[in-house]
Amino acid sequence: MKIIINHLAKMEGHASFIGALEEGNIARAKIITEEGVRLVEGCLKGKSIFDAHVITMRICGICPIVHNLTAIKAMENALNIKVSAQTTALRKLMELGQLVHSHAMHLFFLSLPDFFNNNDTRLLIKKYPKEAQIAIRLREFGNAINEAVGGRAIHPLNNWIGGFKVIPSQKSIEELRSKIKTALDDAIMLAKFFAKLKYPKFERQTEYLSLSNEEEYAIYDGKIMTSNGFEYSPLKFYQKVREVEEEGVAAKRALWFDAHFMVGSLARVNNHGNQLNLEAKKIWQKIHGQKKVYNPFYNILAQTVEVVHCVEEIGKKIEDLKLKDENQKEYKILAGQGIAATEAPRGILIHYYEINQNGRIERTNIITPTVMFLGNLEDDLTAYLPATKPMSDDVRRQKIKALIRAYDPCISCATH
Amino acid sequence: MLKKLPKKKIGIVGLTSCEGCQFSILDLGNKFLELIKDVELVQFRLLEEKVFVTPKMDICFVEGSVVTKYNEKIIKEIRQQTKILVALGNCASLGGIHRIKNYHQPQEMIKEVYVNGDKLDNPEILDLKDIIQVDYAIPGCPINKAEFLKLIYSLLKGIDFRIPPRPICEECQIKGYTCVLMKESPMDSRGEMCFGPIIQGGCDAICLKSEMPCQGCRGIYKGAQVENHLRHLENMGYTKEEINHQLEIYGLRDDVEKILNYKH
Repeated sequence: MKIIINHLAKMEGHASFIGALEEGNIARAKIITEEGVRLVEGCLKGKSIFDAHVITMRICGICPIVHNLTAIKAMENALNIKVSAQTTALRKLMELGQLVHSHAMHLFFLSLPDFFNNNDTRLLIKKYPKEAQIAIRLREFGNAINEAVGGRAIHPLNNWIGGFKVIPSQKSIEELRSKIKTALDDAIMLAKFFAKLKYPKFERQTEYLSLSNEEEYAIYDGKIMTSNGFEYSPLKFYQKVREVEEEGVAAKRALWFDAHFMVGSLARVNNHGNQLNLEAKKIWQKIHGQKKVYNPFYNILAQTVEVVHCVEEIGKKIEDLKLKDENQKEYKILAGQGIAATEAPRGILIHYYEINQNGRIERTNIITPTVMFLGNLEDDLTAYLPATKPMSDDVRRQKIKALIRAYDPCISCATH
Repeated sequence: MLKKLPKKKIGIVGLTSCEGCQFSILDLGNKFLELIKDVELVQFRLLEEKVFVTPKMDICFVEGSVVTKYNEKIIKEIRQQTKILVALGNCASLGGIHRIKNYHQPQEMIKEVYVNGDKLDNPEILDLKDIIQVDYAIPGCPINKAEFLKLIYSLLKGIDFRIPPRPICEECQIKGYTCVLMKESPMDSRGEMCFGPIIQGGCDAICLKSEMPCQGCRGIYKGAQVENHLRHLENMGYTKEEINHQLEIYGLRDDVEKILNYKH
């Protein structure tokens, strides 16, 4: 039988699903991305290095912060600029705020309806008003951080090559501090709510890739690590990963040693969950102990745990934060290449630039997390389809959509 | 006994964009939930998943520009089905960041990004108003949430909402921000290339609050002295090439060229 699900909704960007399920559990599954090409990488040619983050963060409206951070880090890498500890701390706050905001959005508004074979988020807002308010408060908390530190939540403004032009006032930091207790209670309640829901049983051996850092649960800086612990610098990773293009398809797929792989919350928690903050670790270990988890539906649970972790981390960072005015870093503009890797909410994000001595961009390559995991999602769907055979048509379609949405794909990022 | 009026049917649709304007609306949080109690939200694919047929609407907000053939089909359907069409954000109003390719041989550019570029839809990016009739536009990248609420509540009351034409400078000066045109920065002794004097105000000069020059995401306002300002920027030491690169970011370059050609 053929299964066609047109115009997947409750997902960032436009895509459809085509699958087939035949005798003997033979299955095929494909995500057809339908987002128009924007050629952002081409558009950057000739533009000023100072416009790289301005333009690339507009690749995506739900994760602009990570493009902003990664573009700027890549340029700093090209120009050999070492930023101050304060700059790094502020940027980590931006990233943490983004994770809280994006995950809370995805968890309640996009994925929750899937647990109730339900199409409409508005019915769930009515059914679970307390949890809806928790999700809204957490999103506003994430946004408050990015408004205070970045100057604006969607497409931030304060962060620049070399540091911040404007830093948050001590008053705005105090305001954020006063919100942390509620945010942590909210995050824990949301995690416990999602832990009580029923997840389809499905497992498949998967390669998980994530950033890795000795000092902390890596989201901003680090090497790229694989499931079995091998580590690569961002440049080595960039040289080894392959982007594969299919004719007529706007979104590419990534291959790592000729195989598909997963990135995102589940990959991060699997690879270095032992570095999670206290409350987050408690929740994760209560469900899974110390084992690795191979059920992609649990990407949702991993996201809830990361929200808790991030709020705890924001609390820690704000506690120690004593801001002072800093002079802009001095640096020369030279020709060269720069690369950076950060963890977007959906997984590893890579920006690579070649720049000339006039400070103009010659070449850009951006590899987004959805490009990295689309192939793995299709493999998971192919493996999962046979389990949907005994289901009714409606339920089968619901479960397929649930698996796709559990990955939290961002098709605008994948296409850029 | 007052007869209760039927709720207006509202749609929020995305073509090709980053969806930041739609997420801005969702970021209204409880204000958004209040809004959807006052209207019948018949289409918003971030929250619902009905069978995909463009329904009849009173007001439809459209984000994004037309890139794929499917985008083209949908925007024409939307125009037919809705009484009022509002362009949401810079992509719909002026083309968005991807309009940059219009100025740089798009058929060549696509080959740099894709090996099989000729199989993908790669049209010239247009303002939505050059494809179908647009009744209102909320400019910006992203939109100003307060402006969105002002517009929708005005329209629901039958009030014609217009953004008063004025430069960013008005808000910038009221808020007391330093004029970056006149400020020497450590990297550039010329002063910054700010388009504020010719750009439509209404964003609270938010970029200037962050000491970033205005790059024009809200578009040129009616009556702006474009030629004067560009000449001023050149006198400051900026080349035509540098100015054009910045004009391209939010799709302003073609509007500026039209205005300058009209003068001569």
